[in-house]
Amino acid sequence: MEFLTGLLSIFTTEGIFSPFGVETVIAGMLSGVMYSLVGIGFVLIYKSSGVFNFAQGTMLLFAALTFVSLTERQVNPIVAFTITTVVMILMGIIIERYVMRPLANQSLLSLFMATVGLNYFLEGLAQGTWDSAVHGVDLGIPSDPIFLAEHFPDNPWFDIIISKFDGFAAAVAFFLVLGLYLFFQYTRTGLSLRAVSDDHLAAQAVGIPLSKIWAIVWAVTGVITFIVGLIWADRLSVSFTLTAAVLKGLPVILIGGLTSIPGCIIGGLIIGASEKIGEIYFAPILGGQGIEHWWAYLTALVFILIRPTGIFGEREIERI
Amino acid sequence: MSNGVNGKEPHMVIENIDLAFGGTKAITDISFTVYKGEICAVIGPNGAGKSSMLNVINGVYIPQQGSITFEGKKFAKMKPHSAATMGIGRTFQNIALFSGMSVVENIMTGRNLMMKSTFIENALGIGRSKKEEILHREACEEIIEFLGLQSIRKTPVSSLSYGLQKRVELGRALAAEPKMLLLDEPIAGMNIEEKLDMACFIQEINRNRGTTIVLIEHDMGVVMDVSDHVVVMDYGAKIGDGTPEEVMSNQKVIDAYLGVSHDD
Ligand SMILES: Nc1ncnc2c1ncn2[C@@H]1O[C@H](COP(=O)(O)OP(=O)(O)O)[C@@H](O)[C@H]1O
Ligand SMILES: [Mg+2]
Repeated sequence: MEFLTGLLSIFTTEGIFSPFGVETVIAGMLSGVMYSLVGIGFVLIYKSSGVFNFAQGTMLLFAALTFVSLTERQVNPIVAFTITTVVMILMGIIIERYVMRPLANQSLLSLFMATVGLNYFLEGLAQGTWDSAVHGVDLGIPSDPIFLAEHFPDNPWFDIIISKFDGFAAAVAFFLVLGLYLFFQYTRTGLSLRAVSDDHLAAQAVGIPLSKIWAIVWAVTGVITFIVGLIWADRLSVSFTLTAAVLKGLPVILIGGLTSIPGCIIGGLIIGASEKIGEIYFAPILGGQGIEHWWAYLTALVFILIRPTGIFGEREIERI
Repeated sequence: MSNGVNGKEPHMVIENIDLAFGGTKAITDISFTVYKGEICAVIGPNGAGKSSMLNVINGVYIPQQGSITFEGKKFAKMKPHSAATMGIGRTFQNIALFSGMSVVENIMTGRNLMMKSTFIENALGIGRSKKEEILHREACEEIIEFLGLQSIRKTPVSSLSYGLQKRVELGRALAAEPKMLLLDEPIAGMNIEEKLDMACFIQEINRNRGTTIVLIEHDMGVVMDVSDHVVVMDYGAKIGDGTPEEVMSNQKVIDAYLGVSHDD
């Protein structure tokens, strides 16, 4: 009974419909953008190659670790950034040549298993080349809060605190998504990419070289993963646990669907908001330590039950 | 049109093709020649192996035996992408348009092979990419006009009727300026008016562009009207090969057509 009244009180003007509640939701959505960013990597690979890339988290760690290790060896950050970008592009090209191409006509399962193998290979490579210590990263992204109330002193609805860091992540996400959109919609390579993601066979029949498109997608995804990895690293520092950032991307793509970048953004916003609501309102009545580990997945589960293909998900892609 | 079988230059020579899926044979020892500039119809009951034959020609299926000689170059197996590069275009029995794209975008993908600007030029919109873009848009517009698709050029293909989708797919194949077009049942499932239009388009492409056409079709009326050369398949084997008249008077062909139902 106590539990029920507790539950009901969440959905009142004392709960999430209060100014504080709205603040919670907005702050949550902003922090969810970080999750969207992780999801985008999965979506790009899945759309083009039809495979869930198990190695996504390790790619992210590898990129961030390369950058950090270079800067720790007194390499100028801009040079380190450039080198890591080139490394990620090369990695994309190599993955296409030695993983995607040989398996082009094999079953989806073999392709997926190949990304599992890739995961452990990259893990070894990362630790062999660099090390497995914890590296702090400071990109100089400000993390102090902005008090909107200072700008709107008379209105309780603007009694909102926003983290500058989350704002920064949101800006990065905005430009990434805008860039991807322009690229997909207005360039020939973008058109070919969409063709490949739509129908491999027909794309080949009009002479679009699958291998070239795959190489481009894996390279672009590698670079995006690097940028996303940097932002995550600034928050979590670089160590093996950074691969766990990806665990936050999974519920996002469960909600958004594996094939949609807008779905990814919205999925992230939903998970972020839900996590904050869970943390502030549900954790106390659930007796709540550790809710942050499973709440996002519970949210995703609810959405899957409602719509199994995700919000913008398409039908299962068939490989030939 | 002219008589393809007699006195014309071979465009593609198919020799002793065998294709099996696991234990089941789809094609058994098929050989035939497609001549330059002709319309060659491949006919036969459902399941005869016609689509499989086209899939072998453009590299979707790899035959266990046999060879294909295209424009004098001999291949044991083809790859879909290299078939396109060599000038073989095709449409599919089950329409394979890019469903997320508009009509003009679908046709534009057909220009892919013609475009020479690099990925970098293209992503940044520099170098050759602008000039190329304009040129290829014009080529697409020509095709759109030819096929009468002007009014739906911006429409997403998924919302078009079956007949129109088939037309867009033809346009996409045409955009690559192929030397040979493989059309898998381009007329099936259409109403009379659409059939007539499509048959006209195919003949015009053949006549005005000189494109060699290999066509799978069930409608015998249409086949007799448009084709110079007919190859008949049944149970994976070739049972007839010649002019429409020759094939129609072939007893094996008559038996196959009377014996087996072949609704689409
Ligand atoms: N991908 C495939 N896997 C297994 N069997 C196939 C495949 N494609 C075609 N077949 C078989 O090959 C035979 C010929 O099919 P198909 O070429 O589609 O005939 P048609 O186009 O003349 O109707 C059929 O028995 C069909 O079931
Ligand atoms: Mg067929």
